[in-house]
Formats: sequence, structure tokens, C-alpha cells
Amino acid sequence: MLIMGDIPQKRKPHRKEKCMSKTPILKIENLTHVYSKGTPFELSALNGINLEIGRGEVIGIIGHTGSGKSTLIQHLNALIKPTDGKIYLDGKDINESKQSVKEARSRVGLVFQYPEYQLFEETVYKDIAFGPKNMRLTPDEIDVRVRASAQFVGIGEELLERSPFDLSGGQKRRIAIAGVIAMLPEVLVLDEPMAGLDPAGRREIMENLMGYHQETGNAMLIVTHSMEEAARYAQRMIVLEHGRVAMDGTPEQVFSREKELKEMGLAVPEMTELAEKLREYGVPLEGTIYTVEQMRDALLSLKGGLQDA
Amino acid sequence: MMDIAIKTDNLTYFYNVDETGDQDIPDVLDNVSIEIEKGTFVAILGHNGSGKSTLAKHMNALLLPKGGTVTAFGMDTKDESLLLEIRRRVGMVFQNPDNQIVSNVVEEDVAFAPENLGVPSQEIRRRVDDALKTVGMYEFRSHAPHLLSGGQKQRVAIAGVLAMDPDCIVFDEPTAMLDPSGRRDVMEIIHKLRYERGTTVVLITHHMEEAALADRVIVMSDGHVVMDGKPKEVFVRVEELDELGLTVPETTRLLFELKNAGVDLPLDALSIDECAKVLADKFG
Repeated sequence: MLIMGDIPQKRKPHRKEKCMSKTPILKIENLTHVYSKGTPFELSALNGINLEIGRGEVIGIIGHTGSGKSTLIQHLNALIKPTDGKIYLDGKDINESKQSVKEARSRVGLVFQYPEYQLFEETVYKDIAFGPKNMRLTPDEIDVRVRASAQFVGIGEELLERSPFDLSGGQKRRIAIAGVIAMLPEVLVLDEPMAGLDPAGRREIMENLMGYHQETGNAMLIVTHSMEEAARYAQRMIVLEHGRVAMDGTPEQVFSREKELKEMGLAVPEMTELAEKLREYGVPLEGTIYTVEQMRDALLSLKGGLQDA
Repeated sequence: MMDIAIKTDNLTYFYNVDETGDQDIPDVLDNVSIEIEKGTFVAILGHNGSGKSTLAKHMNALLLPKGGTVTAFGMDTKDESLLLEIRRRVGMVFQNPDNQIVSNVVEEDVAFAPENLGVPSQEIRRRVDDALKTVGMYEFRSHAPHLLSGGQKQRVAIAGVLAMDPDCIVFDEPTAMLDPSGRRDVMEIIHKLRYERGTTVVLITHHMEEAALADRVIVMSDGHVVMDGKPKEVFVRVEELDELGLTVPETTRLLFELKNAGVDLPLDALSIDECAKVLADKFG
């Protein structure tokens, strides 16, 4: 079985070593972005964002439309430049030079919304190979990466020579993600990777991505509208509102601020809402509840308590 | 007969065989027979590739049956002379609002279809205003659609369909590209259409919470109807839905898990309020 860990590469320390490293892989300092500055359409999308992204972190980024999520992630690999503030990748300003921009493009991989519309090559293989090719890797290295990336997203060898346009929407989405994974980015940023997929498809894509994360130890930022899914996979959640970081913490910490989330127009997990209703009815539930499992266990422990009494 | 909006009778459909001449591709729809009653809200669920969108596209003759028949308000969709009338009476709203907007001004976009249908201009004015008010976009009537959010654009697209004064609207995953507040807005509009206007609504969706609001849920798998009933009847079949690659609302999932753990509970308390009441009785 091919795994990414077998691929020899420069500047890619072993996973454990990475997790211990103290410098954040990304540091965002006072990031401000204003669109159409100086025109009547001037729109300030980000207002002084400060964030540190650790190596190996999985982070869910939440916020309603217009909160600045897309603007933020497009800064992370220098697709757009800050109006003010800096982004450091591994301690180095990514907008410092042409070279640093180029480096950021391969070390920070961006998967846009509905990436399947960006496939363009004749075969699945060529599409996935596009990124690594641009990194001037040898044909052998490219081959290893293409096959390993396809495997990560659950695309079988038999599909590699097919035209991507003959495949289903879900398969195309996987191929597009594989194309970015093949560059082995140290930070993988995905904008709504599950949008439009059925429940099984959503689960599969997330499991593929978590498999990639566990294998490589690389950081992953996932922009999503689904609080439930963010909470299931991420250890940390960042909530954006009006171009500012409104919340930053573990899912427990974020969901304990249910009222504020609702005021921002965000959907609170169903189980959090149910917990609130039950407390109103006098059911003594403790702690923050946001998954079915937590609710089940909390209720069963209550029942156990009743029976013992 | 008179109270049926859409009827499919042994509807069979397959996409054209590919150039390899492979004849063994399975039918996308295989002898599907359903009747959708006037004034009801029917949700259609199914995994990707189950045939649900193909079914929806038959309802206003965007696709024509390769076997069997489809009738919309008694009109056979294969009858070309009825095409315009079928399209007027059965409107379609799609996933991507960007593909459904044609004009540079919101109200012109909404007026597009009735203008093409030759509706008198005074009547168009009335319909456009009415449609925009129904979707809550009246104050944006002179805005440029491309500067609106995804949710707002989708509301404009719905208004464009409403301006044709349809009796039935088929929504094909209208909320898939929207954020939670956009999704809520669309669901509120659907509720309004169903209860205030008496419009027949067919909603194709992946969101179980949306389907839970319907009068009836039809579940498709591999081109067949595999379940058909009230949301409460369908969602209690947790294990079967799991096997189909679908899921159930979290409320149902919780009740199911508690039941498995030996707590005697009804599985059909779908809404958060109902679920809370049932649980409070047991655990309060």
C-alpha cells in the first residue's frame, strides 16, 4: 500500500517532530482587507485578524455569508494580498517576494467550493498530476504522489485513465481534492468540501480527509456551515463575524455560547438546542451537549442515577 | 383524478449509452409510479445518483419518459402542444441561483418569464411586486442581482418562478449552496407557498430536517421508490435509511439510540419540541 509517508521530500520533518515544534505553521497578524478601497463600493471584509495555526491542527471555520471566511482563506496562500497586516508561513512573510508567494502556493493548498468545476485535463491522472508537475518534481515522484493522493480520496487505480468528465459529481470532487493533496501542502484549506453531497458522501469525504491528516500530520482548515460536522472532526473552532474573530476555542467552549451564536444568525447544533429545551423542562443536564452520543450518555446517566436512588 | 397535480405511470428513463456502446447501464428510473396530490408538500430523498433529480426533471417536461407516462395537471408531458402550458403551471427552482438569473435588475429578472408568456404589462407589474413581496425581496427590486448574497439570489430565482403564477413548484436541492440563514429563508417561503397559496411543492433535498417539514416523504434508491409515507412513518425506519446511505434527523437518531439502550420511547417525535416533551416525561 502506498502511503504519503513513504515519499521522500525536503523540509518535511517527521510527524511527531512536527507536533512538538513550537512555531505555528501559520501566523496571521493584524490582517485587514478592504475591497475596492477608495471607491463608493469600499467594503471592509477583514478587520485586524490575529490567529496562530499550529502544525497538525484540525480547525473548523464558521461564519455566515459575508463574515469574511472566503477572504481570510484566500490570503493564506497569497491569492489576495492584505490591505494591512502580515501572514507568516513557518515564520516567513508569505508576501515578501515572488519566491515566497510561490512557496506559499504549494505549501498551503486551497480547495475551493465546488472544485469539481475546475477539472480540465483529459484524464484523472493528468488532473491530479498538474500541481506536482508545477512543483518540478521528477516523473517518478509525481507518479507516487498521484497514486497515493487518489488512494487517499478513495479513487481506485482503474479510474486514473478515465476522463474526469465521465465520473459522478462526488468522484469529481474527490479528484479535485486529490489534485491539491498531491502537492502535499503542510496546510490544507478546504472551503465547504461537503456542500451538495448526500449524507454518505459527506461522511466519506470527511473520513478521507481525516485519514490524510492522520497519515501526514498536516494542518487542516475546513470552512463549513455545518456546526455539527465541524464539531465532530475539529479540535478547534474559529467563528468569524463582521471580519473579526468572534470566538476561538474547542467545540465545547464555542457551543457553550449558544445565545451569541444564535444572535449571529448561526445554526446551533440540534442537540444543543434540545439540551436547552430539556433544561427548561427541568431535566438536570450538565455541561455542553452538541452530539447525539453526548446527549444519549447524559440522559442514560440520569436514568441510572434515578434507578440507583 | 382532478386532485392530482403530478402523476407518473411506470416512468422509465436512462441516459444515452456512451460511445463504447455499453448497453448494460442501469435505468436511472425504473417503472416509477407516483401520484402527487394538489396542494401538498412532498419531499424526495435519495443518495446521489438515486434518480431523484431525473424524476424531478420529468415533472415539467425538461426530460421526457423513455417508458411510461408523466402527466402534469392531466396534461401528458409528451404532447408538444401542451409544453408551454405545462412549463407555466409547473415551475422549477434549481440548486445554483447564479444559473437562474438573466437580468441586471432584480425586478426585470422576475418579469422575464411573464413577459415571454405575453402577460399584459399591468398584470406583470402586479405579479412581480407580489412575487418579490412573497420572498421578502421587494426592497431589493431595483438592485443588481450579482451583488446579492447566494440566499438572496435564490429568493429572486423563486420570485421569477412565482411570477408565472404556477400551481406547482419543483425545488431541486434549492438550499444546497446556501448558508443556514439562506436555507431558513427558502424553507419559510416553501411553507408560505404551501399554506397560504395552496401551491403544490415538490422538494428534492439531502437535508433530513427539511424533509421532516413535508406532508409526505418519498425515498428513492437506484431508480426505485423504496419508501413513501408521512415523515414520521419514514424516519422511524432508521436502519433501512442508514443502509441506503441516508440518515435521519438527530432527534430520531437520539430516540433510536436510547431505545437500543433499553429506554422505552416512541421514535416519531421528530421536532425538537416533540422530542423534548417525550424525553422530559421520561427523564424529568
